[in-house]
Amino acid sequence: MREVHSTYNVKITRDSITEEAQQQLKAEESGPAQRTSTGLSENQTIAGMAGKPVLHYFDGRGRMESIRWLLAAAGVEFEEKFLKTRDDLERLRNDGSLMFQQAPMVEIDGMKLVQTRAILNYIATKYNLSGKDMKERAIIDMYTEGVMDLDEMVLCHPYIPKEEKEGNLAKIKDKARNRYFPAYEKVLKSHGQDYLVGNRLSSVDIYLVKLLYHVEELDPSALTNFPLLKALRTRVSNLPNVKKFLQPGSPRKPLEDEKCVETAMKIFH
Amino acid sequence: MCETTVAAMAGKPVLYYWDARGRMECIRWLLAAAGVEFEEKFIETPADMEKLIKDGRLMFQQVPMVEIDGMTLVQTRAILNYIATKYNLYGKDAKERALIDMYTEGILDLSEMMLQVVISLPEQREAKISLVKEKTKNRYLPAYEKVLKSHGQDYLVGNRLTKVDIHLLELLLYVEELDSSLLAPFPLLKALKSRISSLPNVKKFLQPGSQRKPPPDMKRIEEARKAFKF
Repeated sequence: MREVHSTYNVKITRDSITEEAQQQLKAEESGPAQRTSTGLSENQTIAGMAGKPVLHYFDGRGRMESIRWLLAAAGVEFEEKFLKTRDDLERLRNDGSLMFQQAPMVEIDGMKLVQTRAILNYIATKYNLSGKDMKERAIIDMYTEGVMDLDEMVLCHPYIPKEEKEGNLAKIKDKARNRYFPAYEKVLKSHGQDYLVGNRLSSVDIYLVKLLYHVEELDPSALTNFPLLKALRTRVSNLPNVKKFLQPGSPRKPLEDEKCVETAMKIFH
Repeated sequence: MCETTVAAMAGKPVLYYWDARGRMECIRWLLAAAGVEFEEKFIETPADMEKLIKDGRLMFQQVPMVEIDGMTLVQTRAILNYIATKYNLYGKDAKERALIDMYTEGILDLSEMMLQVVISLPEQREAKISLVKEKTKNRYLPAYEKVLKSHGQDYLVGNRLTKVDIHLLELLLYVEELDSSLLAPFPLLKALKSRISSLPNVKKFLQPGSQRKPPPDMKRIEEARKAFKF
């Protein structure tokens, strides 16, 4: 098992890693393959080593929000390192921390994972939210992909140019009301169970509930004709971990406002 | 319980898609690499598509769709993941799966850009091709070369064949079709390409007469665009 560096001089603050620690944890060559199956990667942060996942992204929903929801639902405490400037992104890139130069990136269990689905799948598996066997997993994956297709339109909406916004909103409304929500309402109707798959909570219940909230923000009457979806949302929202996450002061992020969009564009575009 | 065709009940997966690469090709590759025989039902007219939708077999009114083991699955990743798990091409544990997923997603991102080239309007095509070449050269190929360099093994993850090696081989062949000089600076990727191509099931799939689909025919794409309205 590879030794972890332990000789650096660091101030560990409650929520963040200092510049010094960042520098000293920089490895010459880094990447997810740089370790044995049981060893820790050389550039694992203190928070990562303490066991908490560390989320690297900007202070906004974007593509990280599903991950925040899933971790919260699983009762997993996590830290966030917010990118504030283009330089912050470049630093992560130059460290070799981002396999495809992109965020989200999550440090978890000695890995630096990028790609939303890779991160979500790992968390779901680890916390028993991916079904009991491969057939349940296939159904969960199928349902998840539908949620993500609609969510892609929704999460991009704040970033759409002003003149295209109305058209994009119309598209979201149409797809939500005519394609996606009916599909999931039909699933719930078909088995009459409390959760989408396997009669117990799985990752896709979380993703769908998040999506329902976010679509409703843009289209307040979107859920009118979907009583079973509304019931699912209520049920899942009352689970202790989710209830806590829905309260003010949690890591849950609000709908991106103009300032937030501006920050994100500065960092990523 | 969903409807299953006779072929599916006999045990062979049945693939529903156009007679084209599109979003089904990676599934064909994976089944072939796993040594799994499969049947194909090609969508030829809008009426074929409408029937599938009307019969309620497409959860989101979209293809690819695959009938397999009593399920009617849609969504490429759901289908790929099931096949990979069933045929032991998904790593040995959650951490290996995480790496496989991460590497796969990068390949799918680049594949999506390539697909956009094919289906984009002719006037947009040149710009999209430039983007694909730039990302291939500067972002994606270096990332995978680096992985191979870091462990010096024959396969991307876990020192044995997994789904992502197959996805990567398919991608490298498309890169080569686009511009063979793109692969030149990446010796380890070239070696992986040779190695995976030589595996018996893959070798067979690469030969003429297999179910592998040829490069897109622009004329057919334009005809399909009019008929299916994309």
